[in-house]
Amino acid sequence: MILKNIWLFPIAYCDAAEPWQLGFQDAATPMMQGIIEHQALTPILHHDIYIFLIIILIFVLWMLVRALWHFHYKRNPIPERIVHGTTIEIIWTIFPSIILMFIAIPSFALLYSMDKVVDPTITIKAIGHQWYWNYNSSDEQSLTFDSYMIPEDDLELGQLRLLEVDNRVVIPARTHLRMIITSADVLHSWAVPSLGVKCDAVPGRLNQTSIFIKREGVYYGQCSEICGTNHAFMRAPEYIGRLLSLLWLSRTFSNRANLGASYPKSYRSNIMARAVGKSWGSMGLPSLGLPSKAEDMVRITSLKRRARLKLDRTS
Amino acid sequence: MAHAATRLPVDAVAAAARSRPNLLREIVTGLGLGVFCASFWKMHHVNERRKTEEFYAKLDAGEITVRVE
Repeated sequence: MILKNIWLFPIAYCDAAEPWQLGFQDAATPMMQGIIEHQALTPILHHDIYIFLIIILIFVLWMLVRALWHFHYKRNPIPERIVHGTTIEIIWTIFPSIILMFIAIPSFALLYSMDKVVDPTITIKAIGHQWYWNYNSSDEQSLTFDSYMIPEDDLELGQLRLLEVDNRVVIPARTHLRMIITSADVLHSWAVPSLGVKCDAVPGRLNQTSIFIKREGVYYGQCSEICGTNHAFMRAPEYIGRLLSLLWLSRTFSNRANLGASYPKSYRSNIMARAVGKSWGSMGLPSLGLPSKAEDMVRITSLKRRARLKLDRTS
Repeated sequence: MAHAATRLPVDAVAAAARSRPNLLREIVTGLGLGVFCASFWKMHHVNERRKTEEFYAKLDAGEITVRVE
């Protein structure tokens, strides 16, 4: 979340549900920007429709009030005997059709662009269970983990109630991604409002959606299809979009690992610190003199090896 | 002459006949008011778009960051 002063008022970007929230969460993808209003040369849906809505609302209210005024029984004691007027009936049929055409045609571009999957760098499968998500990727290295909501009693200071999860999905920013959504039991829906994504998880079917995150951050979502008693406690993942695509491989640990123990906290904290932009040097690790991405790969592999050795020794 | 508070029906009918509403004028007035109110929303939309484009331009140029240091 950043604070930035523009035109005397600070801006704080909202990527999670806020109490008493009225509007949308702030957009982080071109798709969501197109749905709301922001991107230039992209069809704007909500703000475009809102203009028509305001015109029609004010117009109808005006006609209603004026009719009540003009035909009040004291001002107009003899009621009108108008039963139909062909011309005006034609006008008030055609005019709304024209308005609908002005709304629908620009929205087609956005609708079709939502289905387009641009050559993705990473494919992530999200499998809905009752009542958690399982994430899987087989791109560079097979990686699978579960993501459960953190119960209220286990929250740390600053964490959001009913939104935080134990294992977040870490994905790169400014990279085309493909999400494949399915379910292992009942219907679920994987939704992240800030990213403009809502995709049903249907058992026996693979649904696909494409994402391109424009800025780094943590994004929250909630299951959006009733799936049982804990539907309200099943969270879609939170993204920490980062430019360092290799870091997403770091989530190889699980609290329910077969080894019966999770990776040491130091390993996780180093990876997470790197994910939010800290340098390896600031963590007390000397520079290897390699390009940034190569250094990340070497460090992560080395940290993982050390973490695994530590686990083997303790188990 | 009848008092204003106790008008005769014939006076009311006469008044209604004189002040018959003009439908076209009402429609035009209503649409005009609607467009006037929608212009405020349009100004808000243009401002939001400008702020967002400015934000992403500065983010891409490296003048601001969303990363926690």
